[in-house]
Amino acid sequence: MLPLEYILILSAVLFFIGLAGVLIRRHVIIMLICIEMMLNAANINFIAFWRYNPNPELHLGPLFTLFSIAVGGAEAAVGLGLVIAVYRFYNTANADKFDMLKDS
Amino acid sequence: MPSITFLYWIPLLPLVMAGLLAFFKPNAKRVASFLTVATLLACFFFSVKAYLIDIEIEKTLTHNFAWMHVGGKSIEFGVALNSLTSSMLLMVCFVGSLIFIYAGSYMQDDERKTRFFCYLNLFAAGMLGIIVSNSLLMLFMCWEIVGLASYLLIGFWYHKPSAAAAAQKAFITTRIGDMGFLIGILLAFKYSGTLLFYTDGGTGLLQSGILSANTNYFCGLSLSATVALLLFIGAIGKSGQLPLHVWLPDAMEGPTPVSALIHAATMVAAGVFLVARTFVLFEGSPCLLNGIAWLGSATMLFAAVTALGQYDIKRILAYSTVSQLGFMMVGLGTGGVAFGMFHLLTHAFFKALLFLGAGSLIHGCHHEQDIRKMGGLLRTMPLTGYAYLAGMLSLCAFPFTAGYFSKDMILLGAWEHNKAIFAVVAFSSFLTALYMTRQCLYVFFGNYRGHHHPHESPFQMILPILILAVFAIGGGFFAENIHLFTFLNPVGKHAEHNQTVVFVSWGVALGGMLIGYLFYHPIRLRSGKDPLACLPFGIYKLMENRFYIDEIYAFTVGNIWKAAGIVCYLFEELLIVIKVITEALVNKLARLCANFGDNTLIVNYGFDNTCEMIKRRAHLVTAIQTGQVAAYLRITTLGALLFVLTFWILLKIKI
Amino acid sequence: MIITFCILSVFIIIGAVSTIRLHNIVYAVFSLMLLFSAIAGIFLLLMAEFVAVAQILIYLGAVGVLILFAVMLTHSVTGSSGKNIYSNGWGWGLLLSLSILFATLLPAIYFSDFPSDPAVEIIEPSVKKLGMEMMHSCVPAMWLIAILLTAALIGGIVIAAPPQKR
Repeated sequence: MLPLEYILILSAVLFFIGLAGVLIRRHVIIMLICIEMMLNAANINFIAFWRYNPNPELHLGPLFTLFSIAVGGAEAAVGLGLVIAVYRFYNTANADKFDMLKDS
Repeated sequence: MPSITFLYWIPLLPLVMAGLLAFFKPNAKRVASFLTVATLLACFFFSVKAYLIDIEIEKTLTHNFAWMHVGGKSIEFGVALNSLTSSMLLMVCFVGSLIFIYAGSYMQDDERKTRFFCYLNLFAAGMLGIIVSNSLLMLFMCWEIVGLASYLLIGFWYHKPSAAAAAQKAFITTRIGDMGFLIGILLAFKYSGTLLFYTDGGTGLLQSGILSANTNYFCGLSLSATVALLLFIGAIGKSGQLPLHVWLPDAMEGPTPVSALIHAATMVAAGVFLVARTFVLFEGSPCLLNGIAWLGSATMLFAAVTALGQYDIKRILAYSTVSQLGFMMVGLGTGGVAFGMFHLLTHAFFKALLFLGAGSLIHGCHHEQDIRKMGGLLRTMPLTGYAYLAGMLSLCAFPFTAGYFSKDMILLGAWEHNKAIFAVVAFSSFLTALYMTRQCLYVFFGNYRGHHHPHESPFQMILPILILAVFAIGGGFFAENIHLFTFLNPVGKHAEHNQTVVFVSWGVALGGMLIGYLFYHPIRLRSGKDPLACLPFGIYKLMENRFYIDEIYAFTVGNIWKAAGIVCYLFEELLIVIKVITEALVNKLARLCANFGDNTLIVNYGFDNTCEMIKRRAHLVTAIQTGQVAAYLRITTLGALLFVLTFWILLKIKI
Repeated sequence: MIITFCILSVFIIIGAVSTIRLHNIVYAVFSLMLLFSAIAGIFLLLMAEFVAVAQILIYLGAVGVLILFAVMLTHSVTGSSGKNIYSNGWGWGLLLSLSILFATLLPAIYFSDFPSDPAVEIIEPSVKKLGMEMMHSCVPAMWLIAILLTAALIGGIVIAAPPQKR
């Protein structure tokens, strides 16, 4: 049917795209979005491994994934709150312009 | 075997009521006093039930439970019911109810009266807990609750600095005694593994726990006697025996119901009760009992003499309490539980009567407390006056009053034990009659010397006084009828009647009153100077100033702390001197070394150049801190990558 | 089954790549939502129905909308990000992520033995079982998550609130 590796490769590629997005893009909100993308890749991994587990009756995969989704939601909320606060100060969402910590 | 778990309710009810009252408004009209009196009447009902059970059963009933387990042992709490418990319970609940009724009227105009009744309930809970407790630890906890409640109550009018200071003094002085108490508890627990007084299996502290232990544990005392001595130290603090009596007179700063409750009937009796409860430990050592009797007699004499010189009506009664407590200790030391406890029970009645009467007098004279400014009050306040006189007669042990019977017992016991103690105690009883007569002559007879218009007090204050007066006079017959003496001590000594003792006791009481009348005849009092001031060697001045004991304590203890402070200061000065010397030495040494080598070489080229180079090249390192978020993220990711790779490679190599 | 998987994965890749390459932020967020839906489909494929629905509810419903709100609040008046959407030194970032993919993730997958078929053919859809598991052995975790969410949301509000004028 469906080998486990395919799903794992998919989640790996998704993770890579998310990571690339965080490290490449300038806009802070896109960075946060890509972090969520990475979290989702990890969730796919959890469910995939649970599905192919010899005894999936314990439902540990979905359980952990639910917690992961909850935490991801909380983190998104806080991160976006921070983004709004920072935007209020710098008046731009361009991460390159946030250089107050620079050593002069 | 009837169940005695209802005994737990006796201390719990007032405790719960105290917690409840803490949330009431400070000015609720009558609710607080009503609830408090109702609670204590409920406790009285329970104590009657306990008494009825106790009459039937000979031995001690107990109910214990394990509170917590520590290491291999368990700490247990429980309640015990025997004759001692039931008699004390009856007295405390009855007298307490009367005092609470009185307090409802006395504290009527106070703006914090709800809080007052909350504290009264707390006190009642602690005191009743002491009485019913079967466990030494539970007794100690309730002991401390009582101490706290007394602090709160004495310092109730806290804006008066004298009251606040008196409360502190009471708490700290009793604390000193509590230290000995605690050490006694620890010692008892260590050697017997249990804290219970009585258990069903006969392993309690008072049954077999430490009684059979080694003799000559400490200075010739056996182990049980050492524990008893330590517990007695706690009793010294709480019951105001000689070295630690200083808090009792100052505690009169509190409201009169507090004085009546705490310093007449209950709290100071707690020490005597403790000794009575653990008397089995004391019995084995006649040396200890002798010591207790001597200390009691010394206290009695000292306090009686001091009372002769006081002018504040409540202070006279306070010293009288100290003196009577010494008398109770003499009773315990010479005769046994029954002797001391009998006097405790009668004393509670007439002393509470005296205090409540004094409160009524003070109230009637508009808060005047100096007896030199009172006089002729028997005409203006007859009910209070006659009741007060009844109490005074009982205290002087006028024949056939309640006080007479109990004092007679103790005198008998002292005569058989040690004639010297008997002499001291008899003389002190003479002085008791003397100062009480003095007080009554000053207050009730002659002409009024004050500036106010005295009037009789409200009915709610008079009623308890009248009821107590009945008991003060008739208590003796009441006790004989129910064979209180054998009830209290079924297996103890029974004093035989002795003609000499009876003669001395009658003579002392009547003689004291007669001489008092001669000295303090109302006509003499008009001159304003105390007739006893003619005593030689300025003895009267000493008595008036309470033998300067407070000043001595302040001097010694205060100076000890000052000395400690000076020691610390000197030590610090020493350290500073050492530091200065060391600094000078090190400087000299450094200069020597510097002059040895060529400091220009080392410092200039070596040190300075290195610093320059670091400064110039530093910007290469700080280039990492660009302040750019993305750059930081990349470096973090690089770090994570390297970490994972390293970890993986290490795993692979191992495998 | 493989076909379904391929279709869904195509959607996932399209959604992901669009997110990081679109100039317009709102379009990027929409492609993110496409991504989330496709992932929900994968969950359904893998017989985790509850998680799929939770994914739609939370990520599509809550987080996506939250991101949209944040975009609206931080949109510069002068238009979108401009010509260049990549930060300085984007090459290093790309290199790093590629190396993570090819040096750690893919080798890990290739060098391990994985079953080619699921061990259990059909898993009973059981929300009840999940609930029992949650409420029995994972109760402390539930408490912690509740506290965490409360704290995070309150904190987010506090951080994002405009400064109070005295």
